[in-house]
Amino acid sequence: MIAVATANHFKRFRWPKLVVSRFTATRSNRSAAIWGYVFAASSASSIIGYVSLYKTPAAREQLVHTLGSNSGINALLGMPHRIDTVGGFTAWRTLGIAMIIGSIWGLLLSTKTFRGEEESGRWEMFLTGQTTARKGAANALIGLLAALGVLFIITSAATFAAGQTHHLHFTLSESCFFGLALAATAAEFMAVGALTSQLAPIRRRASMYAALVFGVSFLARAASDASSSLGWLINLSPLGWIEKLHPLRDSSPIWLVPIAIFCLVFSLAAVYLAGRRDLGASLLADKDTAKARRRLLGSPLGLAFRLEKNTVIGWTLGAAFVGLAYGYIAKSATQIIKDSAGAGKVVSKIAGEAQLAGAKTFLGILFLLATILIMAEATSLVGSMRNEESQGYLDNFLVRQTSRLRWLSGRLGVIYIALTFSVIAAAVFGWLGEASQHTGVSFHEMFTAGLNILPAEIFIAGIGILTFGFKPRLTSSVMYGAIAWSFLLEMVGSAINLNHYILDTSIIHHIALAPAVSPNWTTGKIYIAAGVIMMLLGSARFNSRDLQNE
Amino acid sequence: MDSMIHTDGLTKKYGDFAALDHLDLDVQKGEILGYLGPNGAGKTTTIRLLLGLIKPTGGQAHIFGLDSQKDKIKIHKRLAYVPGEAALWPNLTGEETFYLLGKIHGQMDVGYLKELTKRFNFEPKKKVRTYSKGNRQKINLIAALSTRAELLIMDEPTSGLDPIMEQAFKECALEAKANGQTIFLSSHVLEEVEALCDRLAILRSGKLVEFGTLEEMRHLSAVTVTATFAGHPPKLNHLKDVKNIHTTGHQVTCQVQGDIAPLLAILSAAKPQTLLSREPSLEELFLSLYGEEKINRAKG
Repeated sequence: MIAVATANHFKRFRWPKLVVSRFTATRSNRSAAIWGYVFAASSASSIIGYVSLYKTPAAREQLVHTLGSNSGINALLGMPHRIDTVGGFTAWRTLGIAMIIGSIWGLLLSTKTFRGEEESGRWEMFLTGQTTARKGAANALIGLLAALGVLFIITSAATFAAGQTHHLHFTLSESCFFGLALAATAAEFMAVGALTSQLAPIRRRASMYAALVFGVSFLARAASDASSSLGWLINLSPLGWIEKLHPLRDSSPIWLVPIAIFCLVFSLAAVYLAGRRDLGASLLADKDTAKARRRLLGSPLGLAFRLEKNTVIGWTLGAAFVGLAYGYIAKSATQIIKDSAGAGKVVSKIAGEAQLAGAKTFLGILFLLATILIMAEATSLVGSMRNEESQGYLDNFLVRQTSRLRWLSGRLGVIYIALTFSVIAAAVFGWLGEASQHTGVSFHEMFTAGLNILPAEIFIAGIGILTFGFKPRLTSSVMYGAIAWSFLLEMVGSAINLNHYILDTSIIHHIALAPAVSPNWTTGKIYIAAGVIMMLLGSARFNSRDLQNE
Repeated sequence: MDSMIHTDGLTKKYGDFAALDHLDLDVQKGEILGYLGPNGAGKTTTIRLLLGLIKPTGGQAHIFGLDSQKDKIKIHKRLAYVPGEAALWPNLTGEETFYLLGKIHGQMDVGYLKELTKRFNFEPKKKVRTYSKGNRQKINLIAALSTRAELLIMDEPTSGLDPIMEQAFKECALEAKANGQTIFLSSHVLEEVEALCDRLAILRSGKLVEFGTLEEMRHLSAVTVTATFAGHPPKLNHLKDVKNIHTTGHQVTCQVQGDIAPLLAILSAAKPQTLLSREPSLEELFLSLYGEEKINRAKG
């Protein structure tokens, strides 16, 4: 019998042409809210910390003197602007973090929305509805804009509220401008991700292209802030334009113009190209056929190496670059620290127990940054392992002569080897950088400092594998959460006198600031032991639990 | 005959929901068993339990006489699996995927692989991400068949294949059976199951509701009888084994389940011009079973 729809059963949905916008916004709002709260926490803690730590003009002057001319910190977080004021300090610190995290979040979300949805086949469903490729792309951008709205509202409201409670009297428009600056970091790279998704045939490659744009922007901005002779570079960097907005103190809204043009041009190009190409195709065409290469295809371990090869190379190069860049500027940063009477105190706030100001302290901070970077690599690799399970690739092994533990040990082998490579790369290239400037830190010291951070990487990998065993769907979230928490505590903890019990929950907090101080191998052993125990527990649980697809 | 698959009270529960409820099944060597059931009946759950991908909450399964959970690797050496959805690495070519899957399995008849590649009209030089759904499914089929494994477990193996390739699959399956291989075939394509399978198992809401040959099952279901008369057809309402009586002009169609003799006596007495009887097709059997479930659900 054929059912006939009658008028009173027939439902017409409103705005069918906007379904992509609503879908994208719904899927993006949660992560936007999470990062909104993280930035809001950073902003509020900066306000609270500054008010409590730098009460007198003398203290603030010393801060300006120390941080204002520290090329290493300038390169990382941007050139401080009016950090003798609460607003200037808060904007500098929070935007410095947001320029890294917000941009990466923006580009990953964007490539997931565009190329990721297309790869999964879901985009096809949208295009068979009441939309076209161009309108669909434009709608997706509108959805991402809505997610940015969530981030904007949370950060603006938190900054306004924190400002009011401490009688700083940030106006609503100042707070909103600050929220806009934070959202703009993500917006720029959302637009970049939208465009690279039209260029690359797979999401991973689209993300890689977008990351390349981010890397160049960051480098240009960092070089400009670290060296006065390269100051002009900031005008060419999308991240430099963000820095020049100077929200909360001496704002320069004029820099919104290049940001808006950049976003508009990239977005329009993405929409235009979406209509030019076939569904599933890309402008930078990839070869559809290839000669069979059987190398590394003989075992799950070999395949894991082959699949993760590019990722591992990328992360290792990233660690090498961070090491080289910071090693290179270590000497100049040291000179500034030596010249400053109060610098040791401030650096020790950042560096915990380290009392030695100088190149080694600066290089110690380099290794803390490398720790975070390599922790992100660990998350990426463990997440990729989970992806093999959730997408059903793992089934191909387990229905043949491969046991779960054999497959897992292969993947773990790749993870631990990759982490070790990155640690060594950071140390060796850090040494090359600092040795090229005759900074005077020996290879042995740098290598030992590198090994000093390896236990923390084994620990975070252990957290990931434990989660993978017990709650596989939460693997990446738990790992990123642990990293974000540790990073936030390090940033905030250096500014405000946080309770040591809270600080102790940061994984980074327990890492000795080698080469400034000798590595604490006892802590290292505890990290390794805990990491190995978690890995074993996670592995045992994985071996006995049901496979869980997405 | 040897038992290739034997399950005893095999159960999988997720909380209070029983995805598979006390399954007792026996698959003999050299046979093709059709495993049928509506969506969500528990077919894929059964296969994942047999393969040791998930663990039972009750009962046990033995394949080749070995425990499906404890002796997974020994079992997997001797079987090949074709999943319903092909999750293959997008950046490997078809040829690389065959090589990888063969290496992991441990054995592959390379000559047969080449032959199958031709029979399924498959181009192995392309990257997996460029293949259509049907072509990706061909990779799974060719990789599994070329292992010449003793037992082939197939979950919707012809999903996405065109009719010509479906025919190629049927030929391969019958060849495998002729070679003494056993096939556990979960499928929605009733015509395919009817053509290939020696026995059928029908699953409903996690429970095995029918198990036997198609002939045995047909006896459980009604025979359709159609008769045409010169005048009005005789009244049949009073016959207790006769149901679904439809009279159109001089023609009567009804279904009889049980003793057919009283019906034939009445029809013969009325001097029919034509008399046709037909056994139920697998589709009718399946729909009648599934129809009962829908009725029960509605009542529930």
